[in-house]
Amino acid sequence: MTFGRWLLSPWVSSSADGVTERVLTFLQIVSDIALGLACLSAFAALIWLVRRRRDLISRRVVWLLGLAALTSALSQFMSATTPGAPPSLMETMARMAATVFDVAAAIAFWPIVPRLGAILSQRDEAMGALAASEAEFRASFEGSAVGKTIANPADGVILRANQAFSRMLGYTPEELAGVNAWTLSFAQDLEPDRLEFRRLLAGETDVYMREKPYRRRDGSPVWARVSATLSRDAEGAPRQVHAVIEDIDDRRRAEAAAREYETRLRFAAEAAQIAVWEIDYRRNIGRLDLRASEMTWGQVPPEVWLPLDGPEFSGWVARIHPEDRLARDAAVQAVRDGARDVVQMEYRARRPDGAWGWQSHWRLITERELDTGKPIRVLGVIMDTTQRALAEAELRATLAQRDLLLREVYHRVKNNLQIVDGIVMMQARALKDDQAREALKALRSRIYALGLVHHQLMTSKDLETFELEPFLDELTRNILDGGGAQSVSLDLQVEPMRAGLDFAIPLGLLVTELVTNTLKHAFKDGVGRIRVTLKRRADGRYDLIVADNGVGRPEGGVAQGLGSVIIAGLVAQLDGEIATHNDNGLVTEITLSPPERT
Amino acid sequence: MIETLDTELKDCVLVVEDEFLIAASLSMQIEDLGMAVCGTADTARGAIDMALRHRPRVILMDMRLKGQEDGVDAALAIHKAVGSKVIFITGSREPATMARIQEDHPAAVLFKPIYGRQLQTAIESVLAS
Repeated sequence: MTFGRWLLSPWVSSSADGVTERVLTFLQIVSDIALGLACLSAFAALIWLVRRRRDLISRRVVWLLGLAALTSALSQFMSATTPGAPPSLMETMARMAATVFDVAAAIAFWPIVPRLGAILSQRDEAMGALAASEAEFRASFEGSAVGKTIANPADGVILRANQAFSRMLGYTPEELAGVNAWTLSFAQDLEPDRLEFRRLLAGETDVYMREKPYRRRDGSPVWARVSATLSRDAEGAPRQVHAVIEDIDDRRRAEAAAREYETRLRFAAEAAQIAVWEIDYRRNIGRLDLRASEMTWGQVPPEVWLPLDGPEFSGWVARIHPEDRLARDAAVQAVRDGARDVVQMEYRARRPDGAWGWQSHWRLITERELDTGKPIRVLGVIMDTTQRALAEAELRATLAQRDLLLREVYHRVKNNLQIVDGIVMMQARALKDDQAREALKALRSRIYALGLVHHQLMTSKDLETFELEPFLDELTRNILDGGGAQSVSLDLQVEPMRAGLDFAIPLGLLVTELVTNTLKHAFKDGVGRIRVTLKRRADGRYDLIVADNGVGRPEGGVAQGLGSVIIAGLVAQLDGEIATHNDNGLVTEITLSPPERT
Repeated sequence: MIETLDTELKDCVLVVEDEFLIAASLSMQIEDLGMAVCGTADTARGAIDMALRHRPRVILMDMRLKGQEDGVDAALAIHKAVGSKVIFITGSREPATMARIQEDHPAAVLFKPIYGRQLQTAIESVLAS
């Protein structure tokens, strides 16, 4: 018996001992039950799969396989109950059914094989795409210039933060992970923040958007605009909060500065009652603000762009005073041509009541064409200067009136002095005593000095000061004439300088006394020369020098009388010093401090 | 005719001044110079009357006078009717006043305050011309 024949011959018949047969039967029962259980488990698994995955590509195949497994299990259990015996009818039918289901499933399986292959390769592609998408997301998240975070919607804890957001607040991304996002906000923002966030969670809004300050690591605020969206799971429950946080600190600061600047400008314009208007030369139109319109007395309506050559603006130009129009047109043209960036013009315009209103107009080029440099936009500013013009006219009139009054006062003083002089002269005529007549003559020359000062003031332009040179010239010549000193020559050296009443009167009286003294005492034979010098010193004081070529000061003789009292008193009044010495005659040197002018 | 007029003038001075004290002091100064004062007037009308009556060679004429008319009005009339030399006396050097005075081609102009010597010089030069 060959080994091959042994393998193919029925095992039981070849070894018909009872023990072996019982063992074989037991093994068959066990294997049938195990196989049946396996089939049952396969059936249960298939049923579970069908119930679980509603998207199965072919439910029919699975059902067939399931039924095959079930019927196989049935036949196995039946076979186990009758070991060794030929199969019963039931068992045969179950086995047949299992075979039919298996074959049907095998047949039905073939058409879905290509689909299955396609699905698998699709899955591979999807996995690859997912990996790429993940890389892209990571790159966009990490490399973004704006701040980004992902947070847990339940507690607000940051899961991931990118470099930009971390840098904005002065942290590293690792430090921010695990931090509660709400702690990065300031207290006053929490309530509105949470309110808005609840709306996002509730699905009332798709995007949570806020502009608010974040707290930097050092505690300082940094303004940001945050926009957050929510990702949800398949059940629609919130999964992650994706936030984009843009640093708007610089922009906000610039905006705040711009707002403040504009507020200041508006306030200034309002306070100064300045009207503003603008011109667009590209379209040759202009628009006035409300105040500017009011300043045209409604001639040009406010807040509308109107053609510059239209009836509204032409009507305004027609109101301008003919005398002012030429200068006004020239200024307007200078800006129109772009020759000047800014012009100012002041003109009169006919008011509805027929009177003239004064206005000051400014025009400023705010934009030029880039290539030609031609002005495109021009800003105009108008101020009503009628009140000022009227005030100026009134002031001028007042000043003219003041001048008139001052002149009148000077005139009256002078006239009165002339009358006093007349009385003194008449008195002198009535006197026989030579000494008394001499005293009255000296008195007259002093009165003359006072009168001359007022005369100079009356004819001076500012009515307050006058040139000293012509004053002293007239004064000294008069003394010489009055003293009958035809043979005395005068050398007057006065620097160009002006003085007022308070200095000129004491100065004039001093010169009068000194020159009169000289005439009286210096020249024995009535012939001589008097030099009068007045100059300003570096320290602001004045040197008055009266010198003659006469006999000089008598040895030990001290000047007596009213003249010397007046001289000493006036020198003291002007904080001065007086010194005399002989130098080919008498030299009197006086240093004076002019009174401080207020 | 003018020759005749001139010869008919008297060697005296008419003082036209509305301030009595000034008029009086001027008169005294003239007398001190050895000349006669033929009279004083304080209005333009009075000055013309006096000039017609006395035919003075020289007239001291103040610019401001009592009444509506001023010294220039009087001087113009007298110049025509009598031909006296007029020395104006004014307290003002304002252009308007000066221009007004020049309307009469004055022989001289004196500015107040007038000191004796100025008056003497002016009268002597007027008489010499």
